Amino acid sequence: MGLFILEFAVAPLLTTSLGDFGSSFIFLPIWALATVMILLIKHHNLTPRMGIVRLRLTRQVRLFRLSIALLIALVFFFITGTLALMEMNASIVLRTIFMVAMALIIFSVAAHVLQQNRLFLYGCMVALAPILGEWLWVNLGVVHHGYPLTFGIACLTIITTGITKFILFLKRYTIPVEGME
Amino acid sequence: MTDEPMVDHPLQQLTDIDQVIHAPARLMILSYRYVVESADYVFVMRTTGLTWGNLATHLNKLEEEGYVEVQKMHKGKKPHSILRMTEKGRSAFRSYKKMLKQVLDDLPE
Repeated sequence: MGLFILEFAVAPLLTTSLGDFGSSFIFLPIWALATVMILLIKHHNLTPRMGIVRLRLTRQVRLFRLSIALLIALVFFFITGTLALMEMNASIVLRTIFMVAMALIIFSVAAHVLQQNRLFLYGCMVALAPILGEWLWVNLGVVHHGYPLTFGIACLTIITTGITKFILFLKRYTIPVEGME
Repeated sequence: MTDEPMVDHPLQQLTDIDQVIHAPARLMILSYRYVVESADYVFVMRTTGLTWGNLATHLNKLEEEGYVEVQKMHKGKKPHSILRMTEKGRSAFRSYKKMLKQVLDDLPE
C-alpha cells in the first residue's frame, strides 16, 4: 500500500524526464517485486509462526460474496461519480471533494472488513494529501502541487509502520516446532 | 421433607452436561475448531495459548472421545499435524451449546 502511494509522491518528479506514461509505468516492476516479496514473506515467515487454518465452506462462500458485493459497490460508485463529474463539467474543488471521499470510503471499508483501525488513519492521510498539497503549492510555492511532500509523508508513514510492526511480530513470535516447548 | 429434590429444576440439567467439552481448555479448543474446517497444531496453540504438553493431553482426550480427528504428516523433517472436528464432535458441541444456553437463559436476573 505504501509503495502504491509512493507513485503519487515520486511520479510528478519524474514526469519531466520520463513523461506522464513513463513516470507511472516505471512503478509496475516495483509493485510486481513487492507482490512477490509479500508472498514469500507469507510463506516463509507468517505461516510457520501462526499456523494454517481452513475456513468452512459456508464461511468461505459468505466472505467471497461480501468481497464481491463490496467491490461491485465501490466500482459502481467510482464510475458513476466520475461520469457525473465529467457530465457536470465539475470544478476542481468538486473533483477534489469526490476523490477525497473515494479515498476515505475505500480505506474505511478496508479498515472495517480487515479490522485494522490504522487504515482509517492512512485513509485520512491519503485523503488530506491533495488538499494540503494544493494549499502548500498556492501559499508556499511547493513544486508539483505539493504532492511529493504530502503523499511522500503518507507513504513513508505507511511503509515505516508496516516494517516496524513486522519486526515486532518476528520478535514476539518465534517459529514453533510441534511438540517442542 | 426438606431433603426432597426440586423436580425439573433447570439447573439439574447441568449434571448431564458433557464433561469432556466442559473443561475450559477443551471448550476453548472446540469453540475455535467449530467455526473452521481444519487447522494445524501451530494455529491451535496460538489461538488457545496452551503449551504443547497441555494441548496434547486435551487433544488426546478429544480424540479418544471421537470429537476430533488428527492427521499426522511431515513438512520437510518437521512434524505437521492437522486437526479436524468430526461430525460427532460438532453434534456434541451443538448439544452442549444448546443446553448451556437454555440453563443460563432460564436463570432470573
